[in-house]
This record gives sequence, C-alpha cells and structure tokens, in this order.
Amino acid sequence: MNQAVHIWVQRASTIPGVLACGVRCADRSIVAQSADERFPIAWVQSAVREIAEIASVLQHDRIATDRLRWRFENGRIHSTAKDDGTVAAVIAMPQIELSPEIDGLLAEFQNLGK
Amino acid sequence: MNPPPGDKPVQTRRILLVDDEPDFTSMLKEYLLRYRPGAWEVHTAVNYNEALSCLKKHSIEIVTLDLQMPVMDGLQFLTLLKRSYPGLHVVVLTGFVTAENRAFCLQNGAALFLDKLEIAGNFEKVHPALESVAATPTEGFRGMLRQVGLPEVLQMECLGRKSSILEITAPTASGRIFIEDGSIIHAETKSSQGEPALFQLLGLSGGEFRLKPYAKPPRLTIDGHWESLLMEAVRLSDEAAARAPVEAPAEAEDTAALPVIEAPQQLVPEEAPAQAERFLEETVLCSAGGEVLYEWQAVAVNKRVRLLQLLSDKSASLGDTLRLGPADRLEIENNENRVIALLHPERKVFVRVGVRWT
Repeated sequence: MNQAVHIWVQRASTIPGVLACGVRCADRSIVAQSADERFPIAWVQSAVREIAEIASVLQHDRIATDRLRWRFENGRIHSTAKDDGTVAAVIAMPQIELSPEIDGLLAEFQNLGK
Repeated sequence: MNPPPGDKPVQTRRILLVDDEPDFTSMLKEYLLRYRPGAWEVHTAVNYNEALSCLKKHSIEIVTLDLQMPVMDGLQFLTLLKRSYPGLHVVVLTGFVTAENRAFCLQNGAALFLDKLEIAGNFEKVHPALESVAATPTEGFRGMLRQVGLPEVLQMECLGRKSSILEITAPTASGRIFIEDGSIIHAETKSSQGEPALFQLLGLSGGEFRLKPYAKPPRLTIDGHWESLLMEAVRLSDEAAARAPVEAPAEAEDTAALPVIEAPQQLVPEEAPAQAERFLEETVLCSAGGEVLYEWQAVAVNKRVRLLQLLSDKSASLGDTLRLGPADRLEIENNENRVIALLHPERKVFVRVGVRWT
C-alpha cells in the first residue's frame, strides 16, 4: 500500500497545473510532494492533515466524501477521503476547476489497497 | 529548525499551552520560542484552573488543550472555553484520539484536533498548523466581495426575494440580469438575450458587477425557476472549465483568457449516453453570525448552520496554510448527490442537490 501511495503521489505531482499533492495514510503518516517551490512540504503535510479533519466531520454528518473540491482565490484543492481515514489531496492552479486527469487519479486512489 | 523561506514578517502571537505533563509543555514551549524568535509569547498551565487564571490575566489568542486532565473533563472544558471566550482559537492536542472525540471537538469550536503522540515526535509538524490557526479571523470576514462569483450574488438576490438589476462588465462580454421578487425574468448581452445571455454572463470568470436598483426590463425572456437556471449555469461552467486547456497555465491566469460560454446548445452534446437529472434536496442560508435567513427542506437546520460555520473556518485555515487566499466554495460530490457550501464573508449557503441518472 505504502509503495502504491508513493507512486500515486509521484504521478499526481506531474500532472500539468498541479502545484503539490499529498496523502494521509491509515496509519496517519503523510506522504507529500511539491511540484512548485512556493509550496514547502511542511505546508502540504499540514494541509492534508486539515483536510482529513474536515473529511472526518463531514463523514460524521453522513456526507460522503468521494470528491471534495475547494475553490480558493489563488488555487484549487481536489481531494477524496475514504472511511478508514485515508485522504488524498491535489493542490492545483486556480484554472483547474475540473480535470479528467485529476479526477481519474482520485478515482484510482479510492481503489488503492482494495 | 530554520523557518521556511518567504514567510510573512514576524508577528507575535500569545499562546497558552494547557497540559498536565510539564515535560511536554516545556519542550513545545522551547521549540516555539526557538523556531521563529519573536513569533510566540508562550504561557503554560498544568490544570484548567491555571488556564482560566492565565486567560484572565493575558490576552491569549490561541490555546492548545489536552483532553485528559484531572478534575474536569477536557470536552467540558472546551465547551466552557468557547462559551466564555468565543474568539479564542482552541487546538486540541491530545493522546486520547477517537473519532467521537475528534468530531465533538471540531463541532464544538476546536480549530484543530491533533494527535499529541504524533506531534511529540516531530514538533516541526505543529508550527505551520498553529500559525495558520492563529492567522484565521474569528469575527466575520471583510473585503472579499470582489471574490464572490456571479452565481452566488444572483443566488443571494433570489433567496432574499429581491428586485434588482445585476450589471456585468467583463473583457469578453457585458450585460444585465433582471431580478424581480427573487425571480430571474430577463438577461441580455450585446449579442443575445434570455437564457443564452444568462448562461454566458454566469460563465464569466473575471470582470466586475454592480447591483443596481430595479427597473422594468424591456421584455420578459426568462421564466424558469432560478435554482434550475443556476444549476444549469454551474453545470455548463464546469463543463467549459473541464474543456479548457491546462497546458498553458501562465496565460490562463489572465481572466480575459478564461473560457466564455457562448450558448448552451453548443456545450451539451446531443448524443450524451447518460443524463444526470438534478433536483434540489435542501437549502440553508445563514448570516455570518449563524442566523438562519432562509431554509428549504433542511433535515436539521442548526446542524447545517454549525457545519457551514465549521467548513468556513476550516477552509479559511486551509487557505492560510497553503497561502491560497480566501475560500469561496467547497463542493462535495458522490454518486447520489452534490453538496455545495458557499463560504462567503457575509452569508453562507448549504445546497444539497440530488442526482438521478437516466
């Protein structure tokens, strides 16, 4: 699983428009990669942790978290969270509202470890 | 140990570390003081009484809270803290990590819920988190109107059953949308009118808009329900964005280069194999202070309001952590429904839309 996560993160970080990405694993460890020097790994790790918190609250409110998309002034976050607490997040440029490539990768993440 | 390059100038934040393990608090204190000198004024308390006493004496901005302390239950203390000091940021830092505790703390005002054991092994993890929490505004939001999208402004007007004219000026198109008693009754651009004009205007990603006093439109060209019209506009806008090239992001930063919807019929392929039928399931609109302004078929209104406030705070924190700026909206999607949380400074909207595939 861990190897698969590393490969997933590596692939996500090479998609055009992706600034950084990260995964919180079931054991709470975080694998993160930055594709842009403006996004230090520590920030990405912290963000993934925060997304996991939000996903946990949504799941508690019985809102399925298959896809989470944030729109910020200067960027987008595309994410997916599983019931076991694993979370994948892709931080992208503001123009990347919907990307079939990112969407496909997040769908792939949902099936990792199955 | 060096702080990340390009960080903001040092601004001193007052933090109170509440934990009955003095070794842990002194290590964290030492770390915070050394990580970025001048960034933190650190106070400590080994029990809740000391914590309350410190809060009275000092203008503390952020508290880290251990849940397992003598005398009083940590969850009760959190509730008490948020009631007595609503503007205080509370970060729960505990070794007692359960899904129930996490959910309770976040629902009751904690800004973050962190695993103490995870943090103790690596204090570098806690600094960006504390910094972003401390930087989160606690009393509403200001100056974000320029970031509000047209669909959201229109939604506010319709939900408030207002009558007005929304005048839009953008590099690629200009036009007007007429709203009467909360219904969209007419839209026009230089080249079109009715729904095509409405969708074109709502698809604009940049530009300026102005709300003007209502006047009768030259003609009535739209009679659909505003919710259906906005959902259709969002769908078309999403499709247009998905089709936009991503390989030239630098140019795309110019709003003039963003995709413009010409007319809906050009964007919906007739041969689409499956059609998603969308229907509104619930809506809640609340003010920044949590006052419910409008609700329709909400299952539990207060729960939704709390969720909206939480999402708003958390998303703001997320934006601060990554320096992405303010959050405008969060979309949550699965096979059965789609939730859109509009996180505006003055009003927040929760919309749940069901999806039926035909």
